[in-house]
Amino acid sequence: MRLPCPHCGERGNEEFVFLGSADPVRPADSEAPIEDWIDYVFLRDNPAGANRELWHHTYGCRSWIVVRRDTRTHEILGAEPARSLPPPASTSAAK
Amino acid sequence: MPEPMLESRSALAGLLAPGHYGANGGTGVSLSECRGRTLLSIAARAGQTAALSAAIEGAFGVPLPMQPARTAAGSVAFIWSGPGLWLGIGSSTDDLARRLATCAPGLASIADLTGSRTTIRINGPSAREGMMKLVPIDLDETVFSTGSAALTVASHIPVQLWQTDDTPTYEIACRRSYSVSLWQSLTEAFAEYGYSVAP
Amino acid sequence: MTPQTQHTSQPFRLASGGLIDRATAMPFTFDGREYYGHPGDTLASALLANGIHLTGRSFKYHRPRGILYAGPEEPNALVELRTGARREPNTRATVAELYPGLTACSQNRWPSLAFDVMAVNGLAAPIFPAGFYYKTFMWPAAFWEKVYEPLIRRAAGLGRAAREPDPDSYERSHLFCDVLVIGSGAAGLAAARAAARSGARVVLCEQDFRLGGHLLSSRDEIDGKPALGWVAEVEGELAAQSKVRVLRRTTVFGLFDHGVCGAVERVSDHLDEAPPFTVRQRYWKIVARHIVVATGAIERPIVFPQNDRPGIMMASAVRSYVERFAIVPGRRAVVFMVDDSGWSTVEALQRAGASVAAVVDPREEAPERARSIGDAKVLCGATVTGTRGRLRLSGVTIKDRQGREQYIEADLLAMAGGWDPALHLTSHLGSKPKWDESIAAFVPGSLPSHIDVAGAAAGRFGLDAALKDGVRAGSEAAHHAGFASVSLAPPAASALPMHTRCAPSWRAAKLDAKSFVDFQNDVTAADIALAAREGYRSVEHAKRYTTLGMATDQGKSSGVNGLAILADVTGRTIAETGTTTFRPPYTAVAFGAIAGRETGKALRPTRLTPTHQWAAERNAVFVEVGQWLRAQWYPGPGEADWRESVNREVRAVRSTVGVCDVSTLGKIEVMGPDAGRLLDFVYANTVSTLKVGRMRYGLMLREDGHVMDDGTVARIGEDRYFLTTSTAHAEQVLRHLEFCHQVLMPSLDVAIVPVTERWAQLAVAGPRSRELLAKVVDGFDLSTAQFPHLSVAEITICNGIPARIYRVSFSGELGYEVGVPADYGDAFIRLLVREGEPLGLEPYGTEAMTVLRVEKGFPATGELNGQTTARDLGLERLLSTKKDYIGRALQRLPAFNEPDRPVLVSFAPVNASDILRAGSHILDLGAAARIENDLGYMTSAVYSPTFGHHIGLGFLKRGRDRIGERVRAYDPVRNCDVVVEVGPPCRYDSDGGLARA
Repeated sequence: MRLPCPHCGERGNEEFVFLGSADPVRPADSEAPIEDWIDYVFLRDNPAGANRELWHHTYGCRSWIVVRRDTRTHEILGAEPARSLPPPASTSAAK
Repeated sequence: MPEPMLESRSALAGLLAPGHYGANGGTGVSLSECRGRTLLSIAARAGQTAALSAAIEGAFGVPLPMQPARTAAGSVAFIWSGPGLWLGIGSSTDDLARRLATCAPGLASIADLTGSRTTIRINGPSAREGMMKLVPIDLDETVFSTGSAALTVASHIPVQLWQTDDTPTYEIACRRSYSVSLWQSLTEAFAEYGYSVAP
Repeated sequence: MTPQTQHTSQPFRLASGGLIDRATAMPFTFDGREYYGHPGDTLASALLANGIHLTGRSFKYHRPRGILYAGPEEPNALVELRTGARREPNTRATVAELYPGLTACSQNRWPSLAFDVMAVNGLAAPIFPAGFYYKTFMWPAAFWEKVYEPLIRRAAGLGRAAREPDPDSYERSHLFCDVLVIGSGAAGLAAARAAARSGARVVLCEQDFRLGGHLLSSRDEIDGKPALGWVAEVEGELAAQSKVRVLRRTTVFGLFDHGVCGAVERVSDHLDEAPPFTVRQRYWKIVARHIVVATGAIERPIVFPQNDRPGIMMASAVRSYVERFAIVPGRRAVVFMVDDSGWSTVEALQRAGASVAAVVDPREEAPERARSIGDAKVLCGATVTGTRGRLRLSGVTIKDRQGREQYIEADLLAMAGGWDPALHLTSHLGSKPKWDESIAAFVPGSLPSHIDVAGAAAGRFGLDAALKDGVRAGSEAAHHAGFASVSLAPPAASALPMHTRCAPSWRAAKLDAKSFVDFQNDVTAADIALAAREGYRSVEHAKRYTTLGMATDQGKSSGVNGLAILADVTGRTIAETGTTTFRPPYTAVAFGAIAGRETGKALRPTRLTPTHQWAAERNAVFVEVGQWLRAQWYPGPGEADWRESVNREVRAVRSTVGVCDVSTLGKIEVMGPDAGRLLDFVYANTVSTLKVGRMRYGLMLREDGHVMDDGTVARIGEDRYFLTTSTAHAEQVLRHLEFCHQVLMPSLDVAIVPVTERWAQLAVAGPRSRELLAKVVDGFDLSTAQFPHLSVAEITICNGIPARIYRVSFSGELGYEVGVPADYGDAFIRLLVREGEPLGLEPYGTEAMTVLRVEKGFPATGELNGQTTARDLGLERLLSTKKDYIGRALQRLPAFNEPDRPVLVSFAPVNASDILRAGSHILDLGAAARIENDLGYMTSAVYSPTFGHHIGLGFLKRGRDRIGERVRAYDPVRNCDVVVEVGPPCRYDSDGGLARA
């Protein structure tokens, strides 16, 4: 499996660590309804098709990247640095 | 009163006996350790990457590389180490830390990494073929040439690799604790070409 | 002939022709007897040159079997190659390259190949039907271990693996290319040349030691030249180009995602022993932008009664042995064909001087070609209905168009059963092959855009088609990889266009119990019919029930015949029946090649501390902590066991001073104006309120509310913090910090730099630690007034060496940690020991460190086990209520707040000589050892020389209410059942006065 690191170029999966879906958004604050937190921390969809995933280029530039992958064909549709994506509202406002 | 100075010790001390090893015949690869270097981690402050590079170019004559690459002027080199992050290398007389602090105040966060990495210089006609056994990246000269750099993994060891000339000559740096394991992997890979170790 | 003449001559070798070097005779032995072959031979061809067809016994029935093929698809001729530690079972004689002194043995026979007692299994064939194991070894269950399994193990298997460690070395390497061409037959060579001419980086892999594929055994012409001349010309052109790499003896065994391919190069398998510093095999991981699969086709056997005797061979193999190896594999042959390629075999045999007694073809009429084959009898509309001969074919029974049977004496029967594209690799990514009725074969299904198939592998049969398709595929691959197409006229082939006219042979077959479908696994047509009758109608089920296409065969020779029979008996078409899925590896791959150099201790890298050499000189006993090797204790003179050493080390710290290398702790510098904000978000307690020069304990949670790690945070400068993590969690914590910054808080201006290896960090602990350090610091005031507990300073030592000093204690004593640049660590510890020994200093290892921290009740790995919370650990006072932080929200979960939740306490045995064991469960006195009575568990247990008995840490329900009570520590696994008294976590200096003094 090969992943396109936006910084280092295409690399083998042995350089990466997988986290999971990039879709869940951290709730606005720790007092948000507990169901929202359970959703964010524990519950994941299992999509057939395009999926956004968080990978860490552990043995490379140590960037977290969001990889778009089709779970049916394993086709990689693209990747961006996580830091370039708009941050969730909660943490950008964290004091 | 204690000794006036402590003696510095390479993580490879005892392994670097000069000589010819491996297959008889030619010397496909020459190995040596790059000692006595100052290593600095240079991280650009948010939004200051261009200003930092310009300041460094003003002071050292070369800009920071903006992609996986190495820029160098004399014994000073800057190696891309991730977005907004560089490894600065200088000889012990370059006074790199002070010059950086002077030329780029407020533009970078700098941490001294001297001694944290072991750097091995690899050169010779079989260097490229041998390195292909170690790192899972494309080292073909059309892709990776003099001035190229990469962060990758060799035999499960995180490494940073750059090419300094067309011989080719590579320098490969690993964290200090991995030095002996990396040395073993290198020498096993190069044994079939015959290799020499220089002090 | 006498054995003597057999030694020197090779009675079935032709006087001329072939790709062998007659000038050199190579001795080899098979089953202890010496023979000769030539360079260019395989073991199979050398055996055939000596008239040996019988090479092994079949798996189940121990039937005599001979060489069937001339390539890696060989199901029968599996031998044990080499001897001793290099003995290699199940090696296909058809790919084993002959070398001088080669030693091979037949397999699966006892006492000898010609007389095998297990052949009685053949007589008992009715009791070994499909599913025999499932039906027979069902019950009683108790019989499995003692009766059935030993029975099956003795009877099963083919060759014997070597019992000694493999003396050879293996390695991995990497290749990157624009175009990978797999196979060097006509299509592959044409593709490689076309791609190379466009400037692409090309890798061509050929499993054989010679390029050419089927061209090596063909008399066709290309561009007006003999095919071999064309092969040599292309080979020369490819060799001259620096961007082309040709790997011979290299099998691509797997295609993986995104152009990644696995290949094994047999670097030294053709030699007696690998030369010095040379590997036996090399595992290539090839990353290709485009892949051209040009793997050709595999000839399909014909299923008829007794189709498995030595002397029955594939027609293409016969051609290969005649043309490439200059051997006549029989003197009097019958050719049974359902496919026109069999005519080339007739011609080849006749050229080699063999007589072709009959050509049997179930189809109604013979082609034009049949007229020019001399005196061979051509029987159209006929089939072979049986064979005779014990260890070698002696004759063939043929039923003609009118149903009359005749017997013809023959020592060779060539079968041309049609061709199956060698499409296995194309199915590795999940694509299902499709049935193509027009060629009566499966062809590759739809493939990802970076994989193309050329020539016979795509079902485009015939030399002309292969050349055209190869040029097309090679040009297109280069074009897709971004290279300009070069217009290239396909070479012109002289060969007749191949007309398959393939009559599906299986419909003519009787479903006989001696009609073999899978030669390697002894699966017959009758087995498949039985499986279908018993309900195994799905091809995947029937395969597993009958073992069809298992083991190294993987359906190469048997697949299509097997499922065609299944289709027939279940009344479906082959297309409806479908095929099983081919998975990697295409051919067997040695474990050694997969492991490469990562064997034994080299399985993973070892990390050494800066003081490793010094500790080794001091005879330290080392322990693996993740990848690290750490000194566990330092044995002293006269000490009987490790506990005496550890006790001495602990006492030194408690009474004088000890030194311990703690460089393995993760160390991270967090810098920049927003460093404090990030750390406040990452730690459960507040960090940003630290003053410069101060440090504190820090607790990190996971987002699910459990503790992730603990450590210290020191503020080195206004915008600079220095973090330590536990050794075990260093990488996880770093990645977590990067996640929090890059994913959750990307707008923060902060830099996170791991500096673990920058510092040799030594803990100096004990009442005399200050006195010792005063000898090495350059005029730094270590007094509590100037440098109180939990302070940090950047100083110099030993006349100017930069260092950082932290006043911190993991032992409960007055303590410091000193970090010096790693290259000075060795000299620094030698200095400290030299200066400290007059004060009573002992170096201490991880074992003493554990004793010290358990006495203090400090949690470590056993307690921070991923299932405990800050409250469980008694650390709730650290949890900030003034800020959001990772893990705050889910601490509200009810389960985290149950009053019954086990909390951290310590234990001491009531009888001081009792031993405590980590892992024990806690029960009330008198309570039965049942899970519902479980009150908690012990996570750490040590012998404390300070208290003179064992102590433990662990988690106990309502533990804080039970201090002073007695409970039972129960470990049935290690026979431990001890009454213990519950205490507070910290048993030593509970107000912490010593560390602050």
